[in-house]
This record gives sequence, structure tokens and C-alpha cells, in this order.
Amino acid sequence: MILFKDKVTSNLIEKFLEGDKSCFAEILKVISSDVINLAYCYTHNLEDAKDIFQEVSFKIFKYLKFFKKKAKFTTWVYRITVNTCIDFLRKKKKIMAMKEEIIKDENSFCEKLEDKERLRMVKEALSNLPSKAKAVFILRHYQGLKIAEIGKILGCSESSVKTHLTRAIAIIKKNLEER
Amino acid sequence: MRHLSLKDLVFLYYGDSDAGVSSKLTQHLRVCKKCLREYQKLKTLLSNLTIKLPPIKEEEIEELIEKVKEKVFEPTFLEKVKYRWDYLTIHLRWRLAPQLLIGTVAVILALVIFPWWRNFNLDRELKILQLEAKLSLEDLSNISPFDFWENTINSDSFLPSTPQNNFGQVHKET
Repeated sequence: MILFKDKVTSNLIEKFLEGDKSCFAEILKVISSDVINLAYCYTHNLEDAKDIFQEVSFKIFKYLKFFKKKAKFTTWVYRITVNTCIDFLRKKKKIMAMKEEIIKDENSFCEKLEDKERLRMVKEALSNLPSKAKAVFILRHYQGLKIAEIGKILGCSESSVKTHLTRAIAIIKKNLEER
Repeated sequence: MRHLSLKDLVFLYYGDSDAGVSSKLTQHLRVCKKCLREYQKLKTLLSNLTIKLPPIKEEEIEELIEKVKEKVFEPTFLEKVKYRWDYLTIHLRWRLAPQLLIGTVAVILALVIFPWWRNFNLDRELKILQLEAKLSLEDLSNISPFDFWENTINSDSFLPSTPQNNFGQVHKET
């Protein structure tokens, strides 16, 4: 799926760089679901995820000229998204305030009590993770990316990714067992 | 018998270990009840950590993209300036480095050499003046007031008697 997306987007990028600006909307359409999905894993809020998508779109538009085709386009987009998510959360200081927000946050999509409870659990589990471990866990667990690809996105080695993943799960396990 | 670590269990769950290692781990799980229990716990934990993305309509995404397009294709003046600045900093940063280095060195040299050159010139002029003054003082010490008097009397310019004045006459009467 990712390979297919990369092929599609590489053609669109070439057209866009040649001056066909209409291709930009097509590029955004291709990557929108991935970006929103990843942003939602970070923020647990659809509106925030949409804001992040917009921010990521601006960045892509701005820096697409400088995109080196050595890496995959999706890897590049994931990298931008992860960084934007971290900045977004840092700005809003949501990492610290997340626990308090859980009570107030009445999401319309969580109709079932079970879903609410699960979301609360996930939020709690993820909120205490260190930044890099959180990124690794989200990319591996929710996005289903391979270790090597996560390494490329976060700019670290495979062994480092593995260590972060194990550490993330250990922390989650500990947190949930303490409850 | 060595029990499996959390790392082994995690990679077994995600299928990140090699086929050989994976089969070894699975075999171990068949034999070791403790590890199997741990693995099942982990499995339950991770399978419960799911995030259900709320359904997003295609129109919503279209709307978002339209918003982005509006903003991106009509940038404000400040955004244009910022974009240019980004372009400059990204593209020309390293290319400008030698020029900047040369410029900085030139400025430093100008700041050091110019004052030094000015002081050097002033010192040289002062030394010449001092020398000239010394020489004139030496000359003055060798001249007596009578030398000056003799020279003045013998010169033509010393109040000569002419028909237009009466200097000679006055001198004679007295």
C-alpha cells in the first residue's frame, strides 16, 4: 500500500514541481488518511488531528522543493507529521494536561462506554511515555510500520527503535498494572 | 531453562524477529508455561490498546484541502518574505559561508589595521616635527643677537634715507 502510494505521489510531485499546482490537492488526498490517523493517535482529538493535517500540508507545500528523493515520500511525510504532533502537543501543553482533559473531553464518536474506557486507558498509557518511545510505539502499533522504516522516520538505528519499543511497552505495562 | 525477556515477547508479537528466532520462541512458549502466561498477558494488553479513529467524511477532507489551498496559493506579504528567507537560508547558507568568512576577516583587518596605520603615520609626523624643532633650537643657540643686528643694518631694507623721508636729515641735525 505504501509502495503504491509512493509511486502515485512521486508522479504527482514531479508534475507539481514542473508547475502544475493542481497536483498538490491530489498529493494531499493520497496522504490525508495516514496523516490524520497518526495525528489522532497523538492527540486523541479529531479537531486537533485536522489542525495538524493542515499544518503538515503547509509544511509539505513549503518544503516539497527541497525533498530529496533518496527517501520515500511517505517516510518524509511521517517524519513531518511526528514532528508537528510533538510541537503541537508541546505548544498546548497537552502532555501534562491530558489526564485532566480526559474527564472533560466528551467525544461524540465514543458512543459506547466500553470505547470511552478503552480510549481513557490508551490516553493514560501513552501520556507517560517519553517522546521518542511514544513515537516508536505509535508508528509500530497503530501505523503498522516496520522497524527499519521507523528508524528512517525518526533518524535512528534499528536497534535503537527496538529498544524504544520495548521500553515503551514496559512503561505501558507498568502503568496499567499499577492502576 | 532461561525465560523469555519482554523484548523477545514484543518482537514475537509484532513478528519483527527472524523466522528461525521466531520458531525457537514459539517452541519455548509451548514448553514454558510462565512465558506463555506472560505472552498472553502482553497480547491482551496490546490488543486492548486500540484507537478507533472516528469516521471522517470525504467532504470534510475535501474542505480541509480547500482551506489549505486557499492559504497556500495566496500567501501574504509576510509569508512571501518568510518563504524567501527560508529559501535563502536553506539554499545559500553553505554557499555564502566562504564569502561571509572573507567579509568577516576583512572587517576585522580593517578595524585593526586602519587605526594602527593612522597611529603609525601620526607617530612618524610627530618624530619629524620633533627633529625639526630640535634642529631649529640648536641653530638658535648658535646665533647671537649681534649677528641679527649686523645683518639688519647692512641690509638695504634698514630705513634708507630717501628724498621722500627725512631720516638722514634728522640724523645730520642731531
